[in-house]
Amino acid sequence: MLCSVGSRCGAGQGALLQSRQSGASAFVSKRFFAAAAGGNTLKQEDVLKRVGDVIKSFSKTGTSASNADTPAAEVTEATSFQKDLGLDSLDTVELLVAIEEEFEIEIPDKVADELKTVGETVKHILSNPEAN
Amino acid sequence: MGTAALTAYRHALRAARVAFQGDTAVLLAARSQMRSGMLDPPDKTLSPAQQAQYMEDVATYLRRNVVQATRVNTAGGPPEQHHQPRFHLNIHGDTELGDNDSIRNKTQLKAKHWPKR
Repeated sequence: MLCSVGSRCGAGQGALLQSRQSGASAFVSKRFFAAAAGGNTLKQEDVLKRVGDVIKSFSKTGTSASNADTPAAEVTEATSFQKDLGLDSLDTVELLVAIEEEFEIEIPDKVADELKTVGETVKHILSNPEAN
Repeated sequence: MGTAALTAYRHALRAARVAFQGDTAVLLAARSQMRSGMLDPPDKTLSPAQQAQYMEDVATYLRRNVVQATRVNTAGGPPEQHHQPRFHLNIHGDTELGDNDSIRNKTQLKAKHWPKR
């Protein structure tokens, strides 16, 4: 999936099960954003929606016994990965890696271990200058 | 499952994407096998700490020692080579370079990133 420079990749494209066709284009756009903005310009509601979309595609395609009936529309800041989405610890790791791929970031291990809800995850993404 | 095991799993999932970028079938297969390995370890005699280390080793191996090759069009080279297959190798920043002798010299064993343009 090509993401043109200056436009944002569509939601869900970086989900765990979909690899990018061109690593090069993602790489180039990352550089562009880093140089131009010096920080991410993501809006909180957009991040929430994209996280919701990743959760949606993750539930559909995941190998886990996660609750596939939870629609992304119902994902809110308060949604807990384990309690509300029914994810086990392995699922949670997989979901966070899928979210990392969507936003082209790497969440530090210590942070990732503490992320339990959608809201905490969105907050972290917003605080990461490399996210796009 | 312990934190070390989950961290190792995270590292392995990420490494799989580095190693199998753009190759969805293999990427899915690798990640599926990683999950199976987490649920049902291949060597049950290992301690939990050793199991986690094993997964970390898988991650390291994928990053350093797997290189993707894509067959490319052979037109353009010398005519006598037109029927010999050629491959693009996706050597990346984490790829370990060197052979079995130079590998013991730990410096300069990583591929360099492209310079900024």
